[in-house]
Amino acid sequence: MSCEEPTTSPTPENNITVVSSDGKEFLLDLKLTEQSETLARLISNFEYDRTDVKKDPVPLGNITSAQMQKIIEWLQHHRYYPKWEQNDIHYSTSFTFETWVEEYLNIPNNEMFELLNAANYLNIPRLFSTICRIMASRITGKSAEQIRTVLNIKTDVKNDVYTGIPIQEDSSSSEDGMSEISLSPSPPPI
Amino acid sequence: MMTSRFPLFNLPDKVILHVIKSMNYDEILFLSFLSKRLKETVTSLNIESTQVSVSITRRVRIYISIGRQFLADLQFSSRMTLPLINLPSNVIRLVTQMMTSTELYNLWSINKKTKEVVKPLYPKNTHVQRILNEQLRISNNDDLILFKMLPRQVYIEEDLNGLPETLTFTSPPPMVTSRFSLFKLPDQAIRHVLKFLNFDEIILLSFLSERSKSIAESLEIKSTFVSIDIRSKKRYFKENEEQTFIVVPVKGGFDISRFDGTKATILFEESFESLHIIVWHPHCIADKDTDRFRAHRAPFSN
Repeated sequence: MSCEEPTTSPTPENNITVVSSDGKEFLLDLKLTEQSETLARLISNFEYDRTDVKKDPVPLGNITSAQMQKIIEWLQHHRYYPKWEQNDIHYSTSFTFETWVEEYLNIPNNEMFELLNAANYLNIPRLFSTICRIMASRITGKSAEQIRTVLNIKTDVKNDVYTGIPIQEDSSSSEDGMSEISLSPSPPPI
Repeated sequence: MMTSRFPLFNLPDKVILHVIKSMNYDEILFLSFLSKRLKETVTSLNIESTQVSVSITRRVRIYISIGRQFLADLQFSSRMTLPLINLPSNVIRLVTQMMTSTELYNLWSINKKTKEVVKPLYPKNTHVQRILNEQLRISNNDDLILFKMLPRQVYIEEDLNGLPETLTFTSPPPMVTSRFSLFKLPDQAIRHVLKFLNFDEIILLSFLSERSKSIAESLEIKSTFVSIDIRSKKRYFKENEEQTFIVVPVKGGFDISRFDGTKATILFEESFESLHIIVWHPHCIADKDTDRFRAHRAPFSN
C-alpha cells in the first residue's frame, strides 16, 4: 500500500522532543508517535497530547541519532497508513515488499540488527515485522556456513555423528552437508 | 549485504522467535541443525510434522510434511554429512531402519554418542545387543548375512550332517537383507560381535575357517556339563537280557557325554513315535565282527 505524504511541519503544540543516546534532539510529530506503542503509551501516561502540559524531552538511551533518523524516515513514510494489525501469517514461503521498503532496508546486516533492536524497543510492529521478514529472506538459500557467519552461530555439536571427529567452531566441515535444501513441489512417494 | 553480521542471539528472545517464525519451515528445520541452542529455540515453536518419510538411494532424502501445504525436502549425498543426531527421533528411527547392517554397526560402534542415538531406538536385549535387531545367516564365504525380520524367530531347517556347507538358518521372509562382512573387521571387533551371539551360533561359526575357529576359541567359552555330536556311522549295542545278550545296531542319534566320560545316545524311532536313550557303559559296547549273536529285533536308527 502506498500513501501520499502531505507535508506537515511539527509545531510545539503537536510534537514532542526525543533525545538519542548521543544527545541529539529530534522533534517528533505526535501523529508519527502513534506508530510506536512505546512512545504512544508514554505520551498517554504523561498526557503530552494536551497543549497545557509541559513536555520534557524523552530520553531514548538505547537508540543512536543515526537509528533515530532512520526510524523517523520510516514513521514519516507510513504516517497515513492504517494501523498495523499483527496477523499471525508466519512460516510463509515468500514476502513481497514495496519498492520504498526494499530501498529503505537495503542496508548492511549490522545496521539491520541495530534497527531491529530499536524497532523492538520503540515497539513499532510494522517495522519490526518487516525487518524480521527481510532477515528471513536474506537467509534463504544460504549454506550452513554462510548462515553461521551472518547470524554469528557457534557450532556447539562437539562430534561429527558419523566420524566422531570433533567439529571445530566455525569449521566448514558441516557446510556441505546442509547446503541442499529445497521445497518439493509435490508429496514424495511413500 | 551478507558480509556483515546479524548476531541473532544478541537479540531478545521474543525478537529471535519472531525472526525465526518469519522463515519457511525448511529454513527453520535447517536452522535447527546448526547448533543446540537453535535446535532448542526451534523446538520451542512446537512445529509438528504430519508425515515423515525417508528414501535412501545414493542420496538420503528426508521429506517432512508440516500441515497441508509445506513439505521440507532435505537431501544429503554420500559425500555430505548427515546430521543425524540433530534430527527428530522418529526421523532417526526411519533412517536407521533403512541403513544396512554394516552402517548401523558402524554407527553404533563409533562412539558413545552415536551409540546413544541408536540404542534407544531398539528394544532391550533384542539387539543393538544382537547386532541391532538382526538375525544371522552364515554363508559359505565367511560372511555373516544379516536379516532384519518380523517376527524375530530362528530355527534350524536342514539336518546337521555335512557341516558347515548344508547348514542354514531360515526364518520368515526377511524385511531387509544385507551382507555384513564380519571377517573384514579386526579380530577385536569380531570378538565383540561374537559375544552377542548364542553359544550354538558361535560354535557353528567356529567351523567356517581357521580364523573363525581361533577367534571363537579365544573367547574361552567352556562347556559345563554336556557336549553334543552327531553320529552317522552304525554302532552296535549289547542289550543284556538275564544271562545272555543281544547286539542291536545303532545308527545316527545324538550323543551326550557326561562329565565322567560316559556316553549316551538319544534316538528317535519310527518318525518320532518312540524315544530311546542308550547308555554306552563299557560292557554294552559291541563289535559286530566279534559278537556271535545276531540281533533279533529291529535296529535302532533315525
